[in-house]
Amino acid sequence: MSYLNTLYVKPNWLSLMKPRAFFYKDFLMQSSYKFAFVTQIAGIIFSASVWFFLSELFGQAVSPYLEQFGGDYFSFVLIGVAFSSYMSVSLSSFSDNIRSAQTLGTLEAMLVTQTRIPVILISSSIYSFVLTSFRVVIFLLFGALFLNLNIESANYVAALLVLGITIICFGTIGIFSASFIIVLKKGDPFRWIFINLSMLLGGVYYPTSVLPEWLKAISAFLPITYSLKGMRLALIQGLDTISIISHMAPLIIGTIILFPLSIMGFQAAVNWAKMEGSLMKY
Amino acid sequence: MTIAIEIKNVSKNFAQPKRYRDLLLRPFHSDRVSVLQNINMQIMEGETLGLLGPNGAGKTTLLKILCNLILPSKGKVMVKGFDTRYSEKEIRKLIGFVVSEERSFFWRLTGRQNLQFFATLNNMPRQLAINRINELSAIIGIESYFDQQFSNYSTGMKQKMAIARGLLNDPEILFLDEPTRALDPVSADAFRMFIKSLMKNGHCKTIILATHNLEEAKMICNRVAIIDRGRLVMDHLLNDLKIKSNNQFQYLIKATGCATDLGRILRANNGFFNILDIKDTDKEEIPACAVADILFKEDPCTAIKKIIKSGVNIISFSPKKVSLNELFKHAVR
Repeated sequence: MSYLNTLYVKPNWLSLMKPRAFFYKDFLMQSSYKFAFVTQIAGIIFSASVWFFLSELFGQAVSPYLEQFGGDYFSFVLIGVAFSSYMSVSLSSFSDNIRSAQTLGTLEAMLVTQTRIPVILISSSIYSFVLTSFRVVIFLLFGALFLNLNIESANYVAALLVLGITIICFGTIGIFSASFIIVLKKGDPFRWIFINLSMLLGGVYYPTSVLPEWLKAISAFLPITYSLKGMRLALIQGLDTISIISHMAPLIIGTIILFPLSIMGFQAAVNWAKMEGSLMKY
Repeated sequence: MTIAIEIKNVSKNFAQPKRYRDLLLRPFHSDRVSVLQNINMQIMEGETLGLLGPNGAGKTTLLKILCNLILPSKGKVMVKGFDTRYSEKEIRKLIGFVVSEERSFFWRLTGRQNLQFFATLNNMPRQLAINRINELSAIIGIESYFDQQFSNYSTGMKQKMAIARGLLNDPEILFLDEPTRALDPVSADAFRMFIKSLMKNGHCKTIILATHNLEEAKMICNRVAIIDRGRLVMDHLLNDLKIKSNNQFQYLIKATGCATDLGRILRANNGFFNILDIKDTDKEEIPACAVADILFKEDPCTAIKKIIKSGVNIISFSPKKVSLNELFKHAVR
């Protein structure tokens, strides 16, 4: 063993050295595209304004369905749209980052370092999550300050808890999605199914109570249904943490079961790709 | 001397891409193409091995198997006693891989930022990484443009960066995959001198260089292995190879007649020699002549007698010194 190797730190998740390095690298790269950042913020403001005027148009008409969430459509839909972006980023960032590293040629260079591929996978998505959180905060702040978003009685601790569970749960599905990308390169069925079903049946734009019974049964299997319900109850109704956790129990149990399976599935996909020699192909 | 790398019966085959028709009719059947066949080698600590072969011979696949980026279909690879399949963590500490692909860096970061990122992935603490990067930038000569964006670098600069990255963790074993492919002759020579100096200064203990350039292997390596169509066809210490080349019986035979006729007659006596090249001489020459470049398998006298008996009118017969390049060409023929 060389002299330098004796001075190396042991890989330690507590030091967060590698996730920090990925975050810093991604920040430097993204901030070098200055105009893109400005357009993103403008997009958030435009999007929030559209939902505000739509709710002004027919907000009263839909309020009977929204009693559970305070009866205000603008607050309902703004939280739905804001937090559904976590679903999009979770489902896309893992697989997109792996595919981007394959096409850029950086995956091979990272894989010969002393960093395991699950660490590369998770760390390379941190920037996307932080950026999404930043966008959600701007979205909610703009809504609260200028468009009458009603989150005065919010339970922020519960909201953060819901957010944490949501990220882990969606991240699990994102890792499954990345496994498909490792094997199939393109045409990931997981992302397609989850995004479309979640937008249609997960209660992003309307409460699931408007759905017919047989579609409600399907929506009960979608993580976003629980995640958005928990988030709305925490931010709009200000429900206590224990009640919110009980609402989210199916999501928590599902995550506990699926998270280790997703890591195992991803490792199996990587081994398959190493066997086929297709890890760096795209 | 201890063994650094041991390659035991390694074979590799890849699945051929399927057509739509095959996906429907034979979804579970896959046609496979063999890339490496039963490779056996031992690379000693301190050796500089040149892995030679024409394009598509299987050099890069073998390097990637050694780095555990690809798993072998059969056989196993031991790096310093660790099986690459099961000891990925241990092996990563021992190796450095210089990828010839210049896209393997983040183009919107500076050279320094790129190396700092990869140093972190190699578990190097910040201060140690900074010191090591400064040290390497001085050795490799990239200081002057180190804080410029990587996208502004020339091909030679990018290649130097790839070398610096490969040396970041001061590896005991360094893999170089066609490192001078994108370099001009002057930069390529400078690079070769640099790799030689690395060996002298003890920066690396074992180097494996995949290349199709024999001159490069001659400059850097003390051992040469030739892979052709997935098979290991030659494996010698460079000095042994030089002796072997001096003991080859290669001759140029000039005879009357056209190259086609001469070739036909010579091939009828094929058991005694290998025909390297046959061509017609100047068309103005009378009578028409052809020259054959022949590598005899043993003393040429018997073979020459046979050739004359076959009716070849030999005008001249001259020995030719065999170059290593010709040995290489002969091995992969």
